[in-house]
Amino acid sequence: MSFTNYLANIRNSVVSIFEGMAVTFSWMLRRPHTVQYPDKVDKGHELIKEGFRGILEVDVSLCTGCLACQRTCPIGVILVEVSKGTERYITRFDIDAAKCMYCGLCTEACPTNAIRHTKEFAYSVDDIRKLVLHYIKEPVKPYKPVKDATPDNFNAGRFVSEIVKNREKEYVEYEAPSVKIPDGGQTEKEKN
Amino acid sequence: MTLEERLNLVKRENEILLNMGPQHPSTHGVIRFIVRADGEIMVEALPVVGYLHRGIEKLAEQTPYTGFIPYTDRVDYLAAMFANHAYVMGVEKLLGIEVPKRAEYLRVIACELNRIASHLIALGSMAMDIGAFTPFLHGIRERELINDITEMLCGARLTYNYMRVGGVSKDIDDRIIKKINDFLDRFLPGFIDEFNRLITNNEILVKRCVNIATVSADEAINFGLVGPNLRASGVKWDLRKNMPYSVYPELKFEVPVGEGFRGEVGDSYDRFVVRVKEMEESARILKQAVSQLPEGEILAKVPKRIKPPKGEVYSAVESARGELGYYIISDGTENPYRVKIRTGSFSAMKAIHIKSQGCFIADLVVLIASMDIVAPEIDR
Repeated sequence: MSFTNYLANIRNSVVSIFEGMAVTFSWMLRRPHTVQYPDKVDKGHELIKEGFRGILEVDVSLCTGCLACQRTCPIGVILVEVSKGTERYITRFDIDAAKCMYCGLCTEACPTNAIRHTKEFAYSVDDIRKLVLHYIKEPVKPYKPVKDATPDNFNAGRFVSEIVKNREKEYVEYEAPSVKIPDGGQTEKEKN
Repeated sequence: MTLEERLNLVKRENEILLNMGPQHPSTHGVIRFIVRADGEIMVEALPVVGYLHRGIEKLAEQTPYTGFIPYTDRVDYLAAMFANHAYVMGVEKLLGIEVPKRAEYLRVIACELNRIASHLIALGSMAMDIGAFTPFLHGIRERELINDITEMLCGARLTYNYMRVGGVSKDIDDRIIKKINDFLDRFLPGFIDEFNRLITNNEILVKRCVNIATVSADEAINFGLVGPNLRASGVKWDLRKNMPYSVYPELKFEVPVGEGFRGEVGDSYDRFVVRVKEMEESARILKQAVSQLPEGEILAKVPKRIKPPKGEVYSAVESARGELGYYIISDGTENPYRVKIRTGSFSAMKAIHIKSQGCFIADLVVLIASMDIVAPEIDR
């Protein structure tokens, strides 16, 4: 390597380093892209875009008890129990939010939009059992689909349910309500 | 011969055994290399794979065809869209479904966005492994904008699960198109120029990468290298051009190949520059795809329970890490009989083993980073 080459190498290195430094320095004068979370933002939800696939919630008043979501879920997150008899009752609708991978296949399978994603994304709790969300407190009659229903019918009561909000409260042992039906029908639980 | 036997056999005097990984910041995930070194020079770096094996191929046999799409996201977490695309294309071939034109365009848009995001990480982490931390943050910043777009497009930032058999899950709207256009305006040429000034033309990076682990064209083909690694060696092979799928024949773009930008053809620096140029081409494809987006359906008529007829099919896409192929065998039931996944990172591991012989230990990091290895893609 000749002496001129040697000097040219040094010059190139110094020039390219200062060129990079100039780019870095120019960013000190521009607006930052980061947000001081959570200090400068009231709620993380403001940053979340519409259609984000967060924690799952169920509007049980819209559920038809068709079990389509349970069958679609690839990892068995959803557990629905429907009592058999002359009158059907939904006696259990559990979602294991700790196991869920937020793929959204269940929300597409649901005919009435009863199961859907919220924009909730921060769901750390001190007891993993709290993340099993039980949506049925009292037995619920399945929803009868309306003829010529529009998506508005199903989106009317868009809410973040109390069960999703209350997940950080104290852990309570849960037992699915059982239904006694006068004409001798029995719940699926009793059969097993 | 087991690993231990092999190592005992070849361990000679004056050689040291050095364990790199599985938890090493420069191995891009849980990959382990057993380095046999004579002083600073490596005799070989033996890759040990299997630390991230999750049995995804076996899981496919117990999952319905639609239910397996979320699993394909986990094959390559940096470029999940391509895994989605290759798999649903295979199932569509089995079923004989024609995908609507709009859905095909949306797939191309999603995939090219994902390719830019993946290359940004690859380039940034390669610079970081060499010692330059700033380019990584610049790459992450741009990738964040892409993540915002995909969040609006499909609801997730990393494991998209966007494609369905017969189309895509959600339609695009004007807000998202505007966001994509805004991103492209700042990306080409603004960001690329700035990135080149910042790192690509940086003399320290050039000196670290030039003539390191040169893979010639013949060797690259024999190793089974695919994607940017193969093209950096001067082989013009791109599935988007050579085995056209989706709507790529309708879009105009160049295939960048390695030309020996500073040193020999096929060295680590060529692999770096080819990725930068590929990002530019992806941005050009995006511009065309967004402006040509046709109206129409986004999901073809697909039966609710997908039960393809007996048969087998191979479908491959040009992923950010090269040819990503799914070989699907159907036995006429609701679950696939067998799914085999062919990925680019696995064949790159063999190239690393051969090319590490005679390199400095410090250059192994450059070699691994320039091959753009992603650990879950090696093991599945």
